[in-house]
Amino acid sequence: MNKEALVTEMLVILQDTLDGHVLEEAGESVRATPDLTLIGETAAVSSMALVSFIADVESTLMERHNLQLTLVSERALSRKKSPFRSVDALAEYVVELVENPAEVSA
Amino acid sequence: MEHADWQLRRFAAGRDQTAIVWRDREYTYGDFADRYHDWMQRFDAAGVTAGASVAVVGDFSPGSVTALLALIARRCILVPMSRDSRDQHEQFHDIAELDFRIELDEHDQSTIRAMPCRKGHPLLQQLRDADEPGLVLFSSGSTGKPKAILHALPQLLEKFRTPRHCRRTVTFLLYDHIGGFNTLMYTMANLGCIVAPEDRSVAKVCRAIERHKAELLPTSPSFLNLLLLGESHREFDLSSLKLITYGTEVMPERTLELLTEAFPNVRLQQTYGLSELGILRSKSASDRSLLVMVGGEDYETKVVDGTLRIRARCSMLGYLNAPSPFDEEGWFNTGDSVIQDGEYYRILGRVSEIINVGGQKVYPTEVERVISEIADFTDVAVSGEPHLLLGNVVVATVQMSEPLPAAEVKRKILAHCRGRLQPFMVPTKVTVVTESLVNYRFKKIRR
Repeated sequence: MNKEALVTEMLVILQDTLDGHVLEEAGESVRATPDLTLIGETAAVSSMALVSFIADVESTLMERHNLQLTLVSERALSRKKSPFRSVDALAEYVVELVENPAEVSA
Repeated sequence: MEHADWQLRRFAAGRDQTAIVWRDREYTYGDFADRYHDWMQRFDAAGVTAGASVAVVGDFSPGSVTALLALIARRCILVPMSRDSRDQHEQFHDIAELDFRIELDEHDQSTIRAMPCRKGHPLLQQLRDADEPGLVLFSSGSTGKPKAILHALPQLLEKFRTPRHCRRTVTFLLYDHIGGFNTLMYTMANLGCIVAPEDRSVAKVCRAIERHKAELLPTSPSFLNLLLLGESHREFDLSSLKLITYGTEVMPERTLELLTEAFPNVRLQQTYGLSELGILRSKSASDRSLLVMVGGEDYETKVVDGTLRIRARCSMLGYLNAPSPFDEEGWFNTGDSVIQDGEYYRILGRVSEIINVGGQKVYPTEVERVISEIADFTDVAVSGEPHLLLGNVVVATVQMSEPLPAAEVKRKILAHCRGRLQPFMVPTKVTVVTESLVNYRFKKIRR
């Protein structure tokens, strides 16, 4: 699994999310980049938009790569550094899940 | 006088009146009386005696409705079953402890088969000891296993002796449903006419209305949605309709708006009933209003924690396969979330269908209402799905005749919901299907 290709795919989805979700204060939508902050105080997306984005990534992985992954799991949540902090981190996490299936079910 | 005897006298009084239009042929109440006596003879021959639990499998027809009446006269326990629930029949036989199964085919030809399923359930035995006829109805089980509801019939049927106005009525709801059973008993008691459609497709129902000048269509919002979508009110002459009643699920505001435009001369009336309690008398605040007054002389209502509770003078004896749902004072929790406005209620939906997203309540019908404004969709069903972060997320299943990729559909939904729904109400996941989202009872499937 190529991380760079994943990042490219995820950026398209993230841009969709940024365009599609209401950003009450921001007004204009933000441009999706690999290290755009997705969680915490400075997050570019609301928590609802993040959940929606992750669901879209999951269905894309299923449709295009035949990968059935649950990204929001105990494992992901218990990490010191959240895999949801940016597209780059999420792509890295997906690669890790694919390369180490034991982790997937763990 | 027992109900069956009383009803037979009514038949005699209305001998020449049309009782049912079935397969485009009219049958009179005189025909009904003859068929009733035929059934009694067949019951004697087959050994169908008082207290027997008997299924009648079929749809509204001269044979089936007179079989039901003959079973009431014989003090049997009626188990009306539709052909559409065939997959569950074996389970139903067992729960209702059948002694006999009467099956009517498409030509109204019937067979009576002995079924050795009796186990002696105390509630069934209670009816037999009292020498009273009973009725078993199965809930649709949309949120789990179907429950078997047992009524003592003398109490349930008593109200039909009060004479009321009767119209030519399409039997839309099947007779295994409290609404369909109620329509049948009401119509026969008032010597009205049943118009039986060949099936429940929009075209067949509309054709039956047009051809036989039906005046009353008791139906569900899902069916009306399909009718409006296909513009069947333009294709068929439905000008004979005087009243459309809708119940069994929440009416979307937009459907009601479109209905008032499509049927400017038809009264629209919300109905409310439950298999456990029967059909309540109801009155909509106006044709265009979702506010409804429910109750009548046999029912008391109150709201506790936002849900409607009802106490009925004659409710069911109990479930055959579940504990009693009544509290010590006899109140029944309907599980329907409501807003009270003076004497009126607005029904918001089943509490069990409310989706809890991060502690915030989402009503599926509210989200469906907004999404259904998008023109390309045939139908939409909204449900919840467990989610680790938010407890639940909102999932929309969209029916399209020519499906588009889910991602594209989701984009359309997000764009449309912006500013119309709060962010937590907007679907996180979207699935696109081509098959219908309503079940055989024309109730929306939210799963």
